[in-house]
Amino acid sequence: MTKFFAKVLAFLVLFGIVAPLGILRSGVLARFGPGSEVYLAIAKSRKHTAAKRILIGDSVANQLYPAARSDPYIYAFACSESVSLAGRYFMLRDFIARNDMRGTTVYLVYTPLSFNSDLQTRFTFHYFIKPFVTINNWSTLDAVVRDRVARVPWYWTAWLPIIKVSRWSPDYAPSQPPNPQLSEISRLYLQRIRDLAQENGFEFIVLAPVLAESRRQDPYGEMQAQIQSSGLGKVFSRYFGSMRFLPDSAFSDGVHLHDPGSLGPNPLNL
Amino acid sequence: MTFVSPAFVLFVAITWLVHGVLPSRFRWAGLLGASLIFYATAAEPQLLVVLAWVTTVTYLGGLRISACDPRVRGRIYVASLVGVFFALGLKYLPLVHDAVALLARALGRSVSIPIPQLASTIGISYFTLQAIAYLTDVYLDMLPPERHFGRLALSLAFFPKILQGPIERGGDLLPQLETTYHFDYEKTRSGLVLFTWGLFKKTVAADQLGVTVDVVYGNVHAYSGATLLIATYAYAFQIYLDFAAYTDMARGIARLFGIELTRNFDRPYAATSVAEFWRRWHLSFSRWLLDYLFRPLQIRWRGWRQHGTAAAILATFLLSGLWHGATWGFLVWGALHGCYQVSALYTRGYFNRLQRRIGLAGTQGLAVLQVLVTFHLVAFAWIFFRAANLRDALHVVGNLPTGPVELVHRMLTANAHSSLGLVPGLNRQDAVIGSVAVVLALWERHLRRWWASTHSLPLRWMGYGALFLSIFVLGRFGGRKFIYFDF
Repeated sequence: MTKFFAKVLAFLVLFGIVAPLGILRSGVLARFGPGSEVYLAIAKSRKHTAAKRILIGDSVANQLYPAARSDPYIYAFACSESVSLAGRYFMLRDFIARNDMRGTTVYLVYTPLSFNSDLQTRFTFHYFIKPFVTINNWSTLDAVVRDRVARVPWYWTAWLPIIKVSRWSPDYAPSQPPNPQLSEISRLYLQRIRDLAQENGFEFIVLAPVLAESRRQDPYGEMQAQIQSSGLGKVFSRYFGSMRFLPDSAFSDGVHLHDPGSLGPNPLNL
Repeated sequence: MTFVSPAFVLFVAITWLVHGVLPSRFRWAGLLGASLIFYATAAEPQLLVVLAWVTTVTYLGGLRISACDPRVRGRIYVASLVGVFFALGLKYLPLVHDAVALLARALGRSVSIPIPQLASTIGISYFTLQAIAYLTDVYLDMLPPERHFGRLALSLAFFPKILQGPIERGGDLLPQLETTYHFDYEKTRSGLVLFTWGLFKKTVAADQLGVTVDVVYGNVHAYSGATLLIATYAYAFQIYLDFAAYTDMARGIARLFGIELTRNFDRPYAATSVAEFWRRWHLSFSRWLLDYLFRPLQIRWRGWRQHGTAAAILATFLLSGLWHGATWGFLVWGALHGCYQVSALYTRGYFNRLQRRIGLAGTQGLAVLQVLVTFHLVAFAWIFFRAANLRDALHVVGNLPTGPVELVHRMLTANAHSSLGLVPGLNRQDAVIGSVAVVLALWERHLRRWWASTHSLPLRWMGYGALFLSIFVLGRFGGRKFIYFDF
């Protein structure tokens, strides 16, 4: 029996820790793994660029300005909404550390409903916890982030190398608020990004991507009130005016476009 | 708690360790306790009452049948069966509810009859069939009654098999529960390997196919013949790999506890006839049907000679369809399999003569042709099994003839980014992973034998490591339940 346990242990160390660490270091996840778009965005946020227009945002922003595309003028690293504004703040902080931000404009292109994201989606485990939460930075995270992460069952397994490379995620799909509003995480990290902008001398502007016609009647009153009460009025000054609506038939699921390429390389005229 | 969850892996590990440290005479109690906990968490806790009922009826029925006067044996046997069928009937309560409502409407009355319905009936079909087999075997003096209530309860509730079989015979399982467990390195290793292969079949192969099948069969009217054809082939492999995966996992876990469960599959798609398919598919259920339904019917109708056998085949497969669920789709599926075999029964002589006359008899070419024809007949029947309703199934059948031509056309004009542009959401990467996984899963037994026979430890470990890593890296863990959980 001792021989059996020794072999199982050796196997788990070799294929549960060593081999997954090799996979993680190889960068193959950025190409093939679950949430590969997030790893691609993270990789881009850790590079230097001469571009002075930086675009961050959700998956619709990534359709309009793909992170995989190389553009000398607009440097984009948008990715899934489940990353939340906390994840986008971490990426932006990394980006600032490697780039001179003077004279730069950072655009956050965000669908109204993406502001609801409070790190409580079924993809939070894959898109936020696995790439951004480590055993080392756990104590440095904001209490609100730790609270949201801890609500995801089995969240700690994301620290195991074998889970980090896996497609497995806990069965967790809490319901989302139906109307646009600023979640606690969104509000906190929008303020953080605004403060980063002031400290590092860049402009921070929030814009809306193209939206389905059926979303025109969405009640934005609560969200607008939250923006004002959070002192974010200036960064949102162009948001509601920038909303551009297309027929519902242009969207595959009411949010994502069937053919984003048809809008041209710079659909928001940045 | 499902088989594909970290909670289950922890549960098995703890149960195995506790089982190992318990004194031999209490091990049955440890396993029974674990099985009841598993069943309560995997299904509705109320189903424990149903399990307790079936266990008690089976235990008392078995004892009484063997002890009583031969003149009343039959009556006690029938009474025990009625008790077990009562539990099996719970599965059909929704049908009773609908039938009563329909009857009330036909009579022009709008009455609401409060028939209690269980949210889930997982496992009932399996342990009741096992109970029926046990009672029948005791009645026919083929098996002595089990006098230890705990061991009989464990044989019905044993957690690796309670949800989806195999449907074990008392004669196979009960003696194993009496033997003393000793740790066996080879059995434990092979149990873990079998479990891991099952996990691979489920997460990397079956569930990958399931994505395509669910999208297409979820809205069959939106797709053309080629897509329906691909989804139909995909389902044929999905249902086999999904079910075989569960069986492998169940057998692997049971082996950890020193118990050998029935092998449920023997390369069913290599069958050269539909009759042979049923000797390779869901073996424990097929044998149950053969021994407890088909043979008694065949004997009863033997006076009708070949027609009696044909009637017994049809009745057996119609009931087999109904066992899966009270829907037209399952009934048509069962009827098709019955008709295939009845046709073979009446035309066998003619085809044998024809094969000899044209010199095909016994050739490799004929065997390949027979395998292909059998596979397509089985795959055709699966359409009725999978489609949401009869209307959808008929739509698929009506559009299949255009599929092959369209498929060839799409293959010639395919672009690099889509999987022939046939199935939305399925990219080329997933299609390649799924195809490779299906091939590996179908060749699993050969690979397993080859690995076991190789003397190179690094090579063996590389194989096991690749299998282990591929489950995590490529597997789909979307909470897709095992298909046969529903039956």
